[in-house]
Amino acid sequence: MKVSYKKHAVTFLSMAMVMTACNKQLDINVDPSKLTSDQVSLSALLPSTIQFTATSFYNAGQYGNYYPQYFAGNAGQEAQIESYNPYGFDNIWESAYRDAMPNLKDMISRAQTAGAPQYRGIGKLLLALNLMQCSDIWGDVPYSEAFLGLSNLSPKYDPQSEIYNNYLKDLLDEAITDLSQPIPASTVLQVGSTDLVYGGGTAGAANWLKAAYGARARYYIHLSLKDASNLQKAASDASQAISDQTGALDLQLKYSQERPNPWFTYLSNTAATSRSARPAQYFVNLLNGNSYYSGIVDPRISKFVDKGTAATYIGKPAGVRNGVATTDITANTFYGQRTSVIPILTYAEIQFIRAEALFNTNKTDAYAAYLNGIKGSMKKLGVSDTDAGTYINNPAVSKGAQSFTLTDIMLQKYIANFMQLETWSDMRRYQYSTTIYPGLTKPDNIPNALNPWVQRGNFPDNEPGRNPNVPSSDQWTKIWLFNN
Amino acid sequence: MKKDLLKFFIFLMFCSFQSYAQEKTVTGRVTSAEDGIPLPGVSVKIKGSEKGTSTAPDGNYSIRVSQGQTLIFSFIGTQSQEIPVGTSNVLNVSMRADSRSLNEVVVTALGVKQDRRSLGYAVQEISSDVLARTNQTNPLNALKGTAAGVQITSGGGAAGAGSRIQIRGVNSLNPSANNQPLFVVDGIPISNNTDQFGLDPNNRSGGDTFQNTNRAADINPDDIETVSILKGPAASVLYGLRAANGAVVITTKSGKAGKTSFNYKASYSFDDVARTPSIQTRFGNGNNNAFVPSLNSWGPVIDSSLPVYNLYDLFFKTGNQLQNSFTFSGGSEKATYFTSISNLDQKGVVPNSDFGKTSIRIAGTLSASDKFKFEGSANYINSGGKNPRAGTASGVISYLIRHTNTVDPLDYLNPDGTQKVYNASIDNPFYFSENAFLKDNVNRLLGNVGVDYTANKWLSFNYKVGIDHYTDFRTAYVESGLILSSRLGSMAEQRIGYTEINSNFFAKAVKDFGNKWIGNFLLGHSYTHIKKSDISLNGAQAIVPNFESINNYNVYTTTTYPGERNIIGVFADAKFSYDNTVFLDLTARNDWSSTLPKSNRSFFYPSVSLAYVFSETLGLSDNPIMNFGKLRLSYAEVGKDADPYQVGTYYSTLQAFSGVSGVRRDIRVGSENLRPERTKGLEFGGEFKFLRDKISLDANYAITNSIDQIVPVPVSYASGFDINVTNAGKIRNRSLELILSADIISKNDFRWSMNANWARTKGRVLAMPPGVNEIIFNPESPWVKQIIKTGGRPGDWYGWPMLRVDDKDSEYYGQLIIGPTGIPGITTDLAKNYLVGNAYPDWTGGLGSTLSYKGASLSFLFNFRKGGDVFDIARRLRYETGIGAETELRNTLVVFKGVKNIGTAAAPVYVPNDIPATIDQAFYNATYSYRLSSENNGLQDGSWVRLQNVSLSYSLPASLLKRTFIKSASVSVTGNNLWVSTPFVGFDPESSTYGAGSNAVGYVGTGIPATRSFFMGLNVNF
Repeated sequence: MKVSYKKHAVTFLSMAMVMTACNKQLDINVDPSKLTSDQVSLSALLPSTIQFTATSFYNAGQYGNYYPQYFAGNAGQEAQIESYNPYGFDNIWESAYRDAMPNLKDMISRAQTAGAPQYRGIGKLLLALNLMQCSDIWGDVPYSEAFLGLSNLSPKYDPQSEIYNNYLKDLLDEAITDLSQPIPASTVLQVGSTDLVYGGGTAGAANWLKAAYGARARYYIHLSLKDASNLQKAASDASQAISDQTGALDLQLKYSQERPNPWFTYLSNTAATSRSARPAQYFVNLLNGNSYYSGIVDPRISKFVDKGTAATYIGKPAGVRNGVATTDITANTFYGQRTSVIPILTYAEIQFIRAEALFNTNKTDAYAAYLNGIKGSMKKLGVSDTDAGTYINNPAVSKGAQSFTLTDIMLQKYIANFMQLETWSDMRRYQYSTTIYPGLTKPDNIPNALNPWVQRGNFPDNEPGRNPNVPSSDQWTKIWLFNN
Repeated sequence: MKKDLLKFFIFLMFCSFQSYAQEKTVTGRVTSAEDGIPLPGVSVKIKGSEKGTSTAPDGNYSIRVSQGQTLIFSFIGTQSQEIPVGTSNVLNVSMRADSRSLNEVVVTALGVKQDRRSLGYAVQEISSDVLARTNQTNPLNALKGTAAGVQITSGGGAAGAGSRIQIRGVNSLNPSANNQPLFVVDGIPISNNTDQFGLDPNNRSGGDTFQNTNRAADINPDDIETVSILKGPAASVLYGLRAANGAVVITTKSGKAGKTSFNYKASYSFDDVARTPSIQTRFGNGNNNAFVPSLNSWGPVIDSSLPVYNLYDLFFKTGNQLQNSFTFSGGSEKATYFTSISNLDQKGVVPNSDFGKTSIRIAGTLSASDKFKFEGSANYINSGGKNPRAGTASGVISYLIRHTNTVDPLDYLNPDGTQKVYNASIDNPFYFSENAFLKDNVNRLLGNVGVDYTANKWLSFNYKVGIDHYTDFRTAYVESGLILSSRLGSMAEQRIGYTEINSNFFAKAVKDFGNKWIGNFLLGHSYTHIKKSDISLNGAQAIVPNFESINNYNVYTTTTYPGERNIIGVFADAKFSYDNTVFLDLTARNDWSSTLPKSNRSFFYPSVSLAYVFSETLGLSDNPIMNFGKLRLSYAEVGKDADPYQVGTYYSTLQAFSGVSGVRRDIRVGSENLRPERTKGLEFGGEFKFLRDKISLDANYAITNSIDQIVPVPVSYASGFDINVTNAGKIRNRSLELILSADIISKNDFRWSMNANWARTKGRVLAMPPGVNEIIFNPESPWVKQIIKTGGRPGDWYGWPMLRVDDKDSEYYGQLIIGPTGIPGITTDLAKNYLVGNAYPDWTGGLGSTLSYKGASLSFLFNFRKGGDVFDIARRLRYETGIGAETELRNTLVVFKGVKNIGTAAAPVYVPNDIPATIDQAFYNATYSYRLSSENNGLQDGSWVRLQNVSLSYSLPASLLKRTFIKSASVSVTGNNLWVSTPFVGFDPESSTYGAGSNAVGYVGTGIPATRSFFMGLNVNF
C-alpha cells in the first residue's frame, strides 16, 4: 500500500515537472499572419508608399478643396468646412504622417544600407512631396524628430522655415542626385514592375528624375515670395522636368476596377443627395463663360463636372447652405471614374510654374509655357485637338506674349489643377488677390467677426491629446511661407 | 483576553474530568445521505466536552470515547446529529442536507467548497432558484440586480443579444481591454468572449453594428446549481491572471444517489419593446413647412383626412421565446449521472430576428474505490440566429428613427421586388431588416474529466482537465441597392474557431496541529492553452441581386486575426484556522505567460486574508440581538499578461493594387520590455447576523489599484505609429458594497423574506502613460467625447456647456447667456473640452422579496441605478429630421430665459434677455451642427428604478398528485423588465449602442431596443 502511494506521488510530481519544463510552450508569441522586418523587401515597400502618397494627395483635396473654391460643401461636416469652421485635415495627417512618410523613411534607410540609389531617390522625392504638402497646410510640422518610433513618441514641430530651407532642400537635391546614379547590377536593387507609376527600369528612372526636377520647381516657386531669385531656379528645374504633353508621364497613380479611385467612392458612387461636395460656383463660372472668360465655354467643362440632364452648368456658391446647382462629380467626369488617376505632379502644372517664374524676365518663354500648360491640360483630359484649338485660339486666351497677364497664368493653372490642393498654396501666395483671381469672394458664415480668408489648417483633432508639442494655432494666421 | 483564558482553563479542567471514565475507540464513516459520498472534515465532538476530531478525506474517523457519552456530528450545510455511544465500536453516520443553512457553503476558487465563515474576502453566491425564476435564457441576464457591485448590461433587445458584466468598475485605461471577469464552470475556465463581427481584436473599442451574443449565454441556465461571484483579486488569485477582474464561478447540477428522477420544464414568453421615444404627428414630410422631396418631417401641418403612421407601433412586433428543458438524473452509492436536454426558440421583436439554442449535457461521477473518484461532463451546444444590422448611420433603428410620419412604411416594395423609398437618403427599415443582416451559428463542446485520489487520511490529489471548443460561422449580408456598401451589395463570411484547454492539478493536505489549530494546504499546477482563429472573407459589388452566396462578388478581401496563448502556473495555498474562529489564508502563485517578452514572462503574486468570527470569542451565538459577527481583511495581488503578439513591430501585406502587392509597417509598436500588469486589492468587511439569524448584513469596502497596465497608448502619428503598447497608467477603484437580507416572517406555511444590495464604485485615474495627456473616445465626433486623463474618472464625458453668467456677485449668476440671435450661447473655443458628466452610475442596487404560502410563492426584484449620464445618439437624429415629439414646438417665436450682454466681451453688462428667436427647422439643424440640442450636449441622466423581475408560482399540492406518477409540479408566471421609471427620454437607457464586447459605455440609441417579457412556465418532477 505504501509503495503504491509513493508511486502515485512520483507520477504526479514528474507530470508537474514535465509541464513546467515546457519552455517551448511559451516561445509562441510571433504573429503568424504578419511579416517580420527581415522578410520585407524594397520592391514590396515601393508600391505601398506610392499608394499612400496618392492617398495623401487625395486626402488633401478631399477636405481642402473648399478653400480654393473648387468645391462647395453640400452635406455633413463638409458643409461646415467650406465656411472655415474649424477643421484639422485629419485624413491627410493619417495618410501622410502615419502611412506614407514612415514607410518612405523605412524604404530610404533600407535602400541606403543595400545600395539601391533609385529606391532611395524615389523615397526621398515622395517624402519631400508629402512633407511639402503637409507644411503648406499646417506651417510648422514634425520632421527632424519624426518617424523615430519608440525612441521619440512625441516629436517636436519644426518651424516651417527649417522645413523649407533645410529638410525639403536636402531631400529634393539628394533625390535628384540619387536618381541620376547608374542602375545597380543586382536585380534586387533595381526598381522593377512594382513601380506603380513608371514601371521601373531605365526609362522609369529617367521619368522619376524628371518628376524630381518638377517637384523642386514646385518647391522654388513656393519660396519665390521669400526670395525672388528662386523664380529663376524654378524655371530652370521646370525645363528639366516632365516633358510629355499628353500627361501620360505625369507623376500620378491610376486606380483600377478592384481598387477604385477614392473620388469615385467618395462622390461618384454616392446618392446625389448624400454627396458631401459639389463643384463650386467660382470654378464652374470660369468654364461656363459666366466670369473671366466671358462667353467662352471651356471644352474641359464636361470632363471636369457632370450636369446630368440640366440645361446649363451651375456651380454651388460657397458657404450658402441651400444654394442651387446643377453640377456634380460623377463617374462621367475625368477624376470621378472608377479607374481615374490621382495626380501628384503634372506636366501642365510644371508649365504654369515655368510661365509664372519667367513672367517678369522672359515673356516669350513664359507665354510659350502658358500655352503649353493649357494644351497639356486639354490633352490630359482627352479634349479633341479641334476643340482645344478653338478654345486656345480664342483671343481671350491667346492674348500674345506682351498682353497676357499673371492672372491668365494663374487662372489657367487654377483650372488645370482642378481638385488638387496645390492651388490653395497659389491662392495664399497671392493672398486671394482678386487681381489674380477675379471675382473670388469669401464664403458666407465665416465664424470669425473679422471675416478673414482662411490661411492654414488647424492641427489634427487627435494630435493635441497625443503630443504635448503641438503649437497653438488658428486658421487665420498666415504660415511662414506666405507671410511677407 | 483574560476572560478567554479563564474560559479556556475551565474547559481544560472539564475535559480532564470527563476523560476519567472508561474509554474505548469508536471508528466509523460519515457519508452524505443524499448521494452516499464520504464526507471529509466533518466535526466529531463529544457532547459536553471540547474533545473531538474530524473525518479524514475518506470520511473515516476514530475517536476515544466512553460508552454513554454522546457524539455530535456537524458539518457545514448539513443538519447536526447527536448519537449516543452504545456497545458497538463502529458508528457509521449519514448526514442530511440542511436546506436552511445551504448558503453557508460557498464555492470558491478551484471549485473548493468552503464554509462561508472561514472566508476573508467577499464572495456572493446566487442559487439556482433565483436564476430559474427569471426564465432568462442568458445566465448573465438572470443575475441582474442580484449581486452587489456587479453591473450587467444587456446589449439590447435583439434575439440572443449579448450582455456585459463588470465587477467593481473599470480596471484598465485600454478602451479595448476585456474588463470582464473570468467564467469558470465546475473548476474549469470557459470563454465568455463576445466575438465582434469582422473587427480587428486590437481595435474593438467602437464595438460593431450587431448585438453579438456573449459566449457564457450558451450555458443552459437549468444546468446551474449555484453561481458564486468572486469579486476581488483575493477571491480569484488561485485562478491566476485571467481572474484579475474577478471570477464568476458556476457549479452545475449533479445526480444524486437513488431512483432516477425526471424533470420537465417549459416556458413560453411574449416580448415587446419596453420604451420608445414619442414622435410628433402634427407635421408631415417636407422641409421648411412645405411639402418638398425630403427625408425630413419638417413639412406642412398634416391634413386631417390623411393617415399618420407611428413607425414604432408598426415596426416592433411581439416576440416569443419557447424554452423546453428536460433533465433526468440519478445513481447509486458508486456512481451518479445527470443529463439535460434543453432547447430555446426565440423570435425577436424586429422583423427577421431570431435566435435558438440547443444544449445537451451529461455529467457523471464514479467512486471506483475508497481512494479513487472520477467525474466528468460533456456539454454540446448549438446556438445562433439572425438579426438585422443596427449601426449608427446605416442601421435598422437609425432608419426607423428618421422615417417620416406621412409615408406608409409598409409600402416598401416595387412591383419588381426592389425597394421603394420615399427619399434616397434612407432605406426602408422593413426592407432593410430583411436585406441587411447577420446570421451566426455556433457549435460548441465543453468537456472535462477529473480524478480525485485520496492517498490517506491527510493527503489527497486532484487532477482535472477541461476543453472549451467552439466554432462560429457567420454570414453578414447586404443586398445591392441599399445605401450601405455604396448600393453595390456586399457579403462577409466570418469563421471563428476557439479552443481552450485547461489542466489543473493540485495536492491537498490537512493537518491538525492540536490546540484547536488546523491547517489546510494546497499545492497546484495549472496549464492553459488558448488558440483562436478568426478569418473573414469579404465580398463587395454583387454580380447578381438577391443571391446570398459568397461566390456572387466582384471584389474580395480576406482578413485573419489568429491568436495563441499558453499560460503555466504553479500555486500554493495555506489555510490556518484556530478554533473555527480565526482563519488565516495565505496564497502564492507564479505564472509564466507566452505573451510577454522572455525576460518578463515569469511573475509572482501573493495574497493574504484573515477572517475573525468575533461573536464566537464573545460567546454571542445565543445572543438574541446579534448572534453572529465576523470581520475580514484581505490583501491580494494579481498579475496579468498581454494579448498575444503585442511585442515589437510587424509588417503586413497590402491587398494587390493593379496586380502588384505591397508591404507596409504596422501602425502598432509594442515595447520590447513589456511587463505584466498588476492589480492590487485591499479589502475589509464584515458579516453580521441579528435576531437569531433573521437578519444578516454583509458590508465590504475594497480598494483596487491597477498599475503597470498594458495599454495601447495612442501616440503622435509623427512618431510613425498610431499605437504604442506599453506599461502605463494607474487606476484606483474604491467600492463599497452592502448586502442585507431578512427573514421577516417564517411561521407555519407562511414565509416572507427580503434582500437588498447596494454598491458604489468610484474610479479615479491616478496616472497616465508618459507623453499622453488624455485618451479620447469619440465615435460621434465632435459632439461628445469620453476622455480619460489624470485626476479624472473612467467614463468622464466632455463637451461644451452653455454659457452662463459666472460672476458670483452678479444678480444673474448662473443664468444662461443668450447670444445676439436669441439662442443660448455656448463656449466659443470648441477646441477646449469641459467635463459635463460621467457614464458610470453613482450607485446601483437591488431590492428583492419573496413571499410564500403553502404552494404559492410570489417574488419580485427591483433594480436601481442612480446617475450615469447617457448620450442618446438617436436624439440628434430625431431633432434633425423633425420627427421627435420635442420638435412639435416649431414656427414660433420664443424668448429664452436668460440674460443678454449689452456691454463688451471684456466688460460684460447683463440685462434680462428680450431677443426673440424663431424655433424652426433651421434652429434644430443648428443644434445639430455646432450648437447644442440641450445643456451639456444633450447628455441625459440615465438613472432608473426598474422592476427587473416579478414571478408568481404555484406548486400543486402533493395530495392532488398522489395517484399519479408525478412527484411534484408547479406552474408560474414571470415578468422581466416590466416597468421602468427614468428621467431619460428615448429607448431604454440600458441598451448599449456598441454591444457587449465594448468598453464604450453610455452610448445608446441605435441598437435594437430592450424588451420586456412575460413568461408562462411549467415545471414537473417525476
